[in-house]
Amino acid sequence: MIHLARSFFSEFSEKPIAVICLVITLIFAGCAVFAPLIAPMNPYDLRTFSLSDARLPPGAQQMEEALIVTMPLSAQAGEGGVEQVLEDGTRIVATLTPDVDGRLRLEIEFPDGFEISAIRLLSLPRDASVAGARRHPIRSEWTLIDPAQPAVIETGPQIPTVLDFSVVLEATSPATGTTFALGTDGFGRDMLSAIIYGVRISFIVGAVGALGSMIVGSSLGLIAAWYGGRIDSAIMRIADFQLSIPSLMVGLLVLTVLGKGVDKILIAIVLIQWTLFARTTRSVALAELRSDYVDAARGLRLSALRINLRHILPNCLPPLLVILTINIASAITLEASLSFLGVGLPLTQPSLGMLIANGYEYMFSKLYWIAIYPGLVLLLMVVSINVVGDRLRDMYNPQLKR
Amino acid sequence: MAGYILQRVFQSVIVLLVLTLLVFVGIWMIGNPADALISPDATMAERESAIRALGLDKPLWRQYLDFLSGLLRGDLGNSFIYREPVIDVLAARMPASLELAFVSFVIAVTLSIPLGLYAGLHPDTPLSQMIMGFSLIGVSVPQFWQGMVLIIIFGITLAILPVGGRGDTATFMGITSSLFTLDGLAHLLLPAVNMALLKMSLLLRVTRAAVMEVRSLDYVRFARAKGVRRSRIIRRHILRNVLLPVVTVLGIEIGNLVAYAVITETVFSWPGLGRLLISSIQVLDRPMILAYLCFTAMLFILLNLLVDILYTMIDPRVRDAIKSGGSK
Repeated sequence: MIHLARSFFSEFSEKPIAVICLVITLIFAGCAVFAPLIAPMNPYDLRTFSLSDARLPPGAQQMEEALIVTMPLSAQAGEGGVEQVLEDGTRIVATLTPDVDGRLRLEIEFPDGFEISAIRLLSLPRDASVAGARRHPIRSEWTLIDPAQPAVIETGPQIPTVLDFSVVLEATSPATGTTFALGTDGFGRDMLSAIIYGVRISFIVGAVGALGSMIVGSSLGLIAAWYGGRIDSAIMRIADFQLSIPSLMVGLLVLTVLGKGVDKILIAIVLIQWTLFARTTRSVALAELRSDYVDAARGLRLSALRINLRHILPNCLPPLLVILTINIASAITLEASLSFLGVGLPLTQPSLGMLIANGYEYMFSKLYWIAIYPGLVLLLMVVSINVVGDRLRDMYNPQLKR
Repeated sequence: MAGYILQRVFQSVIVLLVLTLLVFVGIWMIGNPADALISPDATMAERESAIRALGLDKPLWRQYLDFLSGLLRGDLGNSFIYREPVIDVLAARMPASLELAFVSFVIAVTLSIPLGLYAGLHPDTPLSQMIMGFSLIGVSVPQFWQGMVLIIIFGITLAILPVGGRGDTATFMGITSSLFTLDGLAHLLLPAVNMALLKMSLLLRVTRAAVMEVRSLDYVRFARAKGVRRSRIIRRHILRNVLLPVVTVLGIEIGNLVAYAVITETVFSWPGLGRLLISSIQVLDRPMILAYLCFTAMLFILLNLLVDILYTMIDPRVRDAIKSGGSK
């Protein structure tokens, strides 16, 4: 067995590109199995992402929600102050003092290292104005242009005896240390994590679908070859009928009738792909049935099941494995296409196709990464599997061996 | 030959019957179209009269028989959504789909056969390797994503081609099509390339494989030994035999061209039959879905016949086989 594996790999690796693609395929398979361990975030967990991170470009940092401190300030004859101590012990003091020109200077003190991104003054009197600040077009709200400079409030010719307003501080939100390597989507989900989970769904759907097709198809092929006659021609007529309808059309019809869902898409894949397995198995099995060792097995009165599974099926395996590999790739593409058309998987199970479909609407506002990266990953996955399949086919095709 | 054609048509009619029956039962299983169509505010009486007007009060087998008898008379009923005969809705959308299919087909065939021929005749040159690498990506890339990349590159970043809709149309010799205006052609280019790329890559690979097989056969070697001109060997000895598998694949691929138009038309907002199918599926417009099916099935039948006839023209052996098969 080990010897067989070694000779298989030494022949397989005659083409280095095939080895690279095999490695990439295995990495994707690993992604599919270990997605929850690899992905930086869980894209299904609503608590891990927030809308404030939506549509960030690749490489952006995740920010914590900004801290906003509102301090009511009450001044008498232009003098007053307010002090607030935050939960972490940071002390912020705002003092208002009249200067010689009858204006009011607002000074805000906060410890070093506490970064302020904006200071706003709310509900000042209508006739007041603030130097070095912009007024909100409608509300009585002033935003200081330079938060480091003290604000100068002009309240007209006389300083009002009582002046009430609020000082609002907005702290610079610190980075959480999480980087969105591939940006975020419209919900603020990390694209990298979403892609890894998408690979998991796409790969599993493709592999399970193609495997299921192989089991169904080769069983039917064996039955057709063993019994022959009417059973054979009935199975093969159905296969011919299926092959005459484009696979995407079959998928569309099946999912229209059955509705969305992973199980339904697997049914669609099996319905589409069993034909090729059945035909191949049948043609190989027909040749094997004429051979002496099958006659010998029959002579030993082994059961039909045993002869088929232990004697005939192993001989069908090499071509079946080639078809399996290529069908995994086409099942992945089919699922992605159906999901893109909105009839494939439900929204709660974002496969790569669904991620690309989500990116479609953002493409026109130049937020390309939402659609491009999942597509590149999908392409890489399908190309790698196809190259591996091509290599296997070349190895098992005696015509090409010279 | 006539018997053969008749047999094919008969098979296709059975296929069509099975398909429509499956869709009929399938849509009936997922839900009553009446629920989707009649507003929830409607009174019981309004509801019942609407159901009767749509013919949904009859038992399912009766509805199916009604559909079949309508089909024989060429009447496929009215769309649940558009409230007009589905034939009219289909006919209005058809030119857009046909011109798209036609242009992408032309692009695919005119590029793939020469490229495949070259790659098969000179398999080891760097250009051949490039062609094959390109075609590998072409067969692997998901069509919808490829279309989006085309939009991003040519429609948004370079902003040189329009990316949605059909553009201006003009009427020429009684056919209204966007093929006859510059704006229409500009709108057509990206969707057509999107649809052609996969077909082209596939045909290219088939052509190359066939060329590589044929070029080492005895009669080609013999012709070369006789001193026949190279261009003549390629034309008469290689290309003629290569065309056989190419035509077979073409026949299958035309069917796929119709099916995958659904994707292209969705990506490029192309007002054709494919988009009609998707929107009809979303609202369970049963007459529309059935009409689309019947129409495409009929198209397949016609195209397959055409391919078969083409086949007999290219290969005399096939003609003989059909003749002997027919006399049996």
